[in-house]
Amino acid sequence: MKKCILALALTGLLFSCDSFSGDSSGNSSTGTGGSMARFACIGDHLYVVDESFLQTFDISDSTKIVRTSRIVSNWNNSIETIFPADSLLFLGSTSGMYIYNLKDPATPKFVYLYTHVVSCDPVVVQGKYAYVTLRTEHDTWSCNRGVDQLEVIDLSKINAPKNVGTYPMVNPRGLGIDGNHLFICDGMDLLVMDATDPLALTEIKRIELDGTPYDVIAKNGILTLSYSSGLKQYAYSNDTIQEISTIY
Amino acid sequence: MKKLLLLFSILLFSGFSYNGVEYIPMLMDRTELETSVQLVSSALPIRNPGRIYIYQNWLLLVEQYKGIHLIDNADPANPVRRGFLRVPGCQSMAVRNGVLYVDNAVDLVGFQFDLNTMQGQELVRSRKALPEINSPDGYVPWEFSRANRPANTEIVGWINQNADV
Repeated sequence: MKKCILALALTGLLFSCDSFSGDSSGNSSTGTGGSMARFACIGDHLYVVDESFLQTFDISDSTKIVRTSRIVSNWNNSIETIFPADSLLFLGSTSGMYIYNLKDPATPKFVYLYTHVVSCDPVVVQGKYAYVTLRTEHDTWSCNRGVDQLEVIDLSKINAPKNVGTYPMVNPRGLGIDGNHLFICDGMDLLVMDATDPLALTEIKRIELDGTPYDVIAKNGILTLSYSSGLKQYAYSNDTIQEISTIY
Repeated sequence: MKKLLLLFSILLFSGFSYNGVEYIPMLMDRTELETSVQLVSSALPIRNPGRIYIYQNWLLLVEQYKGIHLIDNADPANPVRRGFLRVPGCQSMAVRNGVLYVDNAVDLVGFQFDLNTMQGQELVRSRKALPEINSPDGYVPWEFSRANRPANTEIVGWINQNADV
């Protein structure tokens, strides 16, 4: 248990330095995915989530794809998103947030399932907190009984994550966090929240878009947002957020 | 009570049949699928954007079921669409050491590329490593199940019949 806490504390330290969103790696060069990602490259492995599985592929030799693990989820539980955070994988599913550890990168091991009502939910992690959006989706079978909200989950005890905040949303999708800035695709808006105190998030700004936002990546002061009309980027610093480009 | 039940079943049934015709799959022959991943050097307009991925100075943006926009983002204030990687059935991607891993319908493909010269080639393909692309509403018409549709075809996307294309 102590080891877990230590690992998390270290994770927090690492995150405060550089990339806490998307992929991390040793010697290999990988990129950064958004919170809606279903693929994640970490070191020599590619992790893929889909409706039924968490699959692990060894891609150390770029001319081969070798499956090393395949975990089957419950029939009624579709896994939708994957967010790597140092040595852990956070999986968003219709019934909750799964945590797997990567002590053996070829075979992820189940740590915990944080359950909630049936919803669709991407997750991002920074330091010892996870941020999860739960969304209803009325035109699919899987998510039509859910709620629309943001939950903040304390991961200090990785075997007993705890809800430390719930915020009502319109219809949230992807989200991203960078330092004190939390960005949420919510309905037709980009919602910017101040996450200086993870226990008391406050709204900074709601930016209305000419389309429905889907996925975001917040990295090094630049927010990249895909939405139904194209791709937007914003520059943000302590107290300002400014649109800098749009392509269609 | 009986009337209520009848009304309920009519609603339920009409709901089902509505869903049944709402989405129909796009099919592709397997031999065609296996040569379908191609770099197109000219940029295409963004129509149905999906997931995003950042790799070095590049932004990769999924065009749902069609492929990946390759966007030069050296200057985020002036991103430039440089090209398009055609990948039928595409929804997700990740990059490691210059190799892009992408879902080409049920196949997982590794595609090596040089974004600066817009050259690339398929390096590896793991056939049927991934499940079929599910319909957006979760309903697959029976005639398009693997057993009932033409042999050696794969679902590479879904079309909403009721939406304007």
